[in-house]
Formats: sequence, structure tokens, C-alpha cells
Amino acid sequence: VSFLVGVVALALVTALACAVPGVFLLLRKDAMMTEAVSHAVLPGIVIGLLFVGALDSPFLILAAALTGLLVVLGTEYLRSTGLVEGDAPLGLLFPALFSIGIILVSQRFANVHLDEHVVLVGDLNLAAFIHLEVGDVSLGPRYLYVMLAVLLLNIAFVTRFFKELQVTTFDPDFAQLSGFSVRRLHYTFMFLVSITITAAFYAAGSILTVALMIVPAATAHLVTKRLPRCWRSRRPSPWSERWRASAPPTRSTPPPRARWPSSSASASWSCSSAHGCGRPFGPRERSPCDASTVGATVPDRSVPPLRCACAEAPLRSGTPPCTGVREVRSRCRSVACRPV
Amino acid sequence: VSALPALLDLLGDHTVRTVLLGASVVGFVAGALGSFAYLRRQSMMGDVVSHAALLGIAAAFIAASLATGSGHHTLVLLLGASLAGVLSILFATAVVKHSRITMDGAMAVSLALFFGGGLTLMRVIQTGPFAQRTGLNVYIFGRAAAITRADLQLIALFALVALAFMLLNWKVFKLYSFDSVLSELVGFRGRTVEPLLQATIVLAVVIGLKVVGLILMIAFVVAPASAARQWTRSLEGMVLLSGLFGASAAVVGTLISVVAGDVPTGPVIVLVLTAIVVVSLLAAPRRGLVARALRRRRQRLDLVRLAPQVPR
Repeated sequence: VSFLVGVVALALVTALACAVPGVFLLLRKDAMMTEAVSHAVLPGIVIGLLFVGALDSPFLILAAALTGLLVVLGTEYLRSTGLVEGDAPLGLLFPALFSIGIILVSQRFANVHLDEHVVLVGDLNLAAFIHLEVGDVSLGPRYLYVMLAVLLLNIAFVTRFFKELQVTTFDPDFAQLSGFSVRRLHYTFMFLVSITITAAFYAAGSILTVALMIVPAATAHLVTKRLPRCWRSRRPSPWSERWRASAPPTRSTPPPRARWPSSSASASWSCSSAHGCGRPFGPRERSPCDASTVGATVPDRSVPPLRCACAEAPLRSGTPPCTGVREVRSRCRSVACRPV
Repeated sequence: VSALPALLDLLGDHTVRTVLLGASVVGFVAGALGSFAYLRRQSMMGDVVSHAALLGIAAAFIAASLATGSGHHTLVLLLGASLAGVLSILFATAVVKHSRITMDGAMAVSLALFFGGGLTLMRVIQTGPFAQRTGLNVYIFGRAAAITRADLQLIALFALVALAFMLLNWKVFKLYSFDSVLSELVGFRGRTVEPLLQATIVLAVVIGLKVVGLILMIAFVVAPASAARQWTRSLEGMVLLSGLFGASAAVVGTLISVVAGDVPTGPVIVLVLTAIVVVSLLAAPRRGLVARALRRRRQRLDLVRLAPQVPR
């Protein structure tokens, strides 16, 4: 593989790896978080360089990504205290971390060779300089494979947890009510973003990663109105069907809540993995298809009984089996009623 | 005690005095006007402006080089930076108005576009036939020691203009920051007030670029205002306190970096600012985390004392 092809391939893979999580960042109104994270990983990178000595080491990327996660966690904490308003929490942490990074760089440690200019724009040529060679055959830049791994990781995460990402992005309150672990998913996702930014840092620099993440997503947002529907989110997989069939209903029905005086805890139908119970971010306690006898139950036995949050809005009968959050919601007649 | 003569000795140094004066003026003005950005919940706009300024600086350098042969007219560079800063804000708000992209996305896009354009022009300058092309990198990472007397005069001029704008339009800015709808109803058009307020903030941001650099300038906008907010409940107090926080952090940071030797000034100032914020968040009366924890504890104890009286 010639040098030019290697550089172009590296640029392409870097751009793709950034664009995949960028879509969700934009929709989650976290676009400026990329800016913060891309600056905050600098001290992690410098300290990592001290110990590892190479920019393309996976250990360094993970260590620096942890520094990026620090900004995410710190910002969430500052927001939760309610002491700092607006988007100010975002602007408080990353300058401090970036300052630490710059001071470390300026001290010019013996084995840290990080030009200040590289910090900003990266160095595609340098990143593509070392080629992976098997025997005498060059297989392209070595860093290309690091970025390729990040790209695959991103794609795998987004396809695997597409439904979870979708519901927590568009209606986090509803997702929380339905039992999705919104926070856990958020932190995992942001860690992935952090990894992507750190990995792209070498090739694209700290600020241009913001461009690679947000600009494609924003452009796409102007053109299209829908996230591509994931087959998995529409229909339970055969694997989960089997899981439901074999697993006994372990969870007993939660005790009747005070605001549901008529609720008698009789039918115990534990929500299946089809709705995400088997997944790390899926609903656990209060699944959208949790069983209850309140409200009109659907006569068809194959359909799990459902109830809506308003007594006067019974379920439409004869609807197909509940397969996901969106379907459940559409089965409650009134928009104001949410499935419980 | 023995440090005092050394400190006085430092203050006698002409360069140190210039840097101290420049940094503290920048800290005061950016802190004071940062309060308005904070109250408008658009603090990160300061980040967009400071990054976008690079495009203005580079473009102004090229224009000045072509016109006069030398690009290093600080006034021209600062005017270019201000123009680019205002344009970046207008771009972001226009995107929000005319598309379904939200503010944070528009800000990120604006930042990336303007900064990317700026870096491209910097590359053009580096490779093109321009005289004295080396000094521009100062604006990216900042170098307080590079402030000259002429720079100081310009910083003071811009600072005075920004402060005068703020004081002249005090009533309008205050009303608009807290209740833009009422301000509109009373007759102050958002279309006029908004750019005016933003332009004032932009003036405060661009003068700081040479001191702390465009990346860390956001700290001067956000941190003093966030710290001041913890101590006061009036806008007057907040603006004044925020300015004082900014100025004192600039002074302390500059002194530390001078004493420590080979440490860049901007990052040290930012770390001092961060320390001020942390202390404010913890120790502020009423709002502070410590005061809040103590109050909660007291309330819990009160509750425990009252508990036996509650019928089971």
C-alpha cells in the first residue's frame, strides 16, 4: 500500500469513526461536550506518553479516555448541584484539565515529544508514517488499524444498543420511567466518545475532531428526519424468544402502589428479554410490558396484559404483541397516558 | 516576609508590570462581561468566539500584508478577530433560527468551521510570501510575556470601549439578560440588543487572546462569573465581583508563573481561576456546598428530635 493511499484510508476511517457517535451526540444536545472532552484528554495523553511512550498504544488511548470521562462526570455533578447554571458547568472543567496538559507539555519531559501544533490539528502524515508490514508486504499505516478497531467498536455499540440509544436520546424521561438505565448507558456512550476522540486526536488534532463528529451529523440532520430503523429494535430475535421460553418468571409482581387502589397483584408476567431485560441497559424493574390487571386487559392470551397510566384510557384490543417501547406507547389511546 | 522584597523587585521589572497590568485588565473585563453570558446561559459562546477569532486574525493579517506589506498591526488583527467573533455568533444563531439544529450543535459547527478556516489560513500564511509571519501562533496558546506597550494601550482601549458600552446600556442589558420577553415588550428589540450585547462580550474576549490564548479564554468568561454567582444575588455585585475575581486570578497567576520560571502564564491563570471557583462552590454562604450540608444536617437532627411526637 502506497503512502498516499494509507493517508487517505486513515483520514477516511477517522472521519467515519467520529461520525457514528456524532449523530447521537448532536441529538442528545451534547455537541459542545465533544469540544470539552477533546481538550480534556490532553493531560491523559501526556501522562500516558510518559509511561507508554507511543501515541498509538491502546493503553494510552484508554487512559486518556478516562480523563475525558472525568469531564463528563464532573459536568454532570456540577449540574446536579444546581449551583452553576446554563452551559457554564461545561466550561469550568476542561480549561483546567487542558491547562494541566499544556503545563506538562511545556515542561518537555525527556520522552514526551508532543508539539503544541500537533495538539491542535494532529498530524495525519506522521500518524500514517509507520506501516504495518507482514514479511515484505506493507498492509497500510499501523494507526489505520487502531482507528479501524475504534470504528468497529462504535458500529458494534450503536447497532447493539440502537434501541436503547434511540429511546434515551429522544425521550430520556420516558426511558427512565420504563426502567432503562439511562445514566449507565450515557456514561458508557460518553466513554466510547472519549475513546473515539482520543484515538482521532493523533490524526485529526483536538479541535478538528469536533468538526468530524458534529458537522456530518448536523448536515445529515438537515436532510433526514429519522434514524434508520433497526431490525433488532422492531422484532425480538430468536435468541430472546428462546430465552423467554426457557426462563421462569423469576420476578414477582411489585406490590400494588398506593395510587392504584384497584390493582390486585395477580397475573405475574415477567417482561421478557425481547424488551431488553437481558441487556445491560434494558428495562429491569418497571418494564413497559409489565403485567397487571388494571384497566381492560386484551382478550387475546398471546398478548401480555398492559395498563395505561390513566384509568379512563383502556387498551385497544387486538393489537399485535408488544415488541418495543414505541409500540407499547401507541397502544395507550391518549397521548397523555403512558404505559406503566 | 523575606518574599516581600523579592515581590517588590519583581514589580519593579518593566515587563512584569506590563504583563500584570494587561492580564488584570483582561481578567476584569472578561469576568465582568462574562456575567452577562453566564446569565444568558450561553457561556460556551465565549469558546466559539475565541476560536472563531483565529480566522479573523489570519484574514486580517493577510489583508494587512497585502495592503501595507506588514501584517503585524495589532489593532487590525484585533478588529479582524472581533468581526470574526461576531460573525460566528450570527452564524450560530442563524442556523438555530432557520434549521432544526439546536444551539449546542450550531455552536459546535460554527466553532469547527471558523477555527478550521483559521487554521487553513494560518497554513497559507506559513507557506506564502508574507513578512514576519511567525508571531501569529501567540494567539493560539497565548504568551503573556509577549505583550508590548502598544498591546497594552490597545487592550486598555478595547476594555474601556467594552466597559463603557456595558455601563451605557446597563439597564437594557440587565433587562434583556433576565427577561428577554419583557425587554421586547417594553420596546428594546432583541434584534438590536442581542448583537450589541454579544459584540461587547466579543470585545472582552478578543483582547485576552494574546494573554491566555484562544483555547483557554473560555475560562476567563465562565469561571469568574460562576464563582461570583455563589457570593451575591444582585447583578451589580456579580459583575463587580466577577471582574475582581478575574483580575486577581490574572495577577496571582502571572506572579506564580514569573516566580516559577518556565511555566506558561495562561494555564497557570486558568488553574488559579479554577481554584477560586472550587473555593466559591464549597465555601459560599447560603449556597455553598458546605453550608448546604450543614443545613441539611441540622434539619435532619431537627427531624429526629421531632420524630417521637409524630403519631405512628
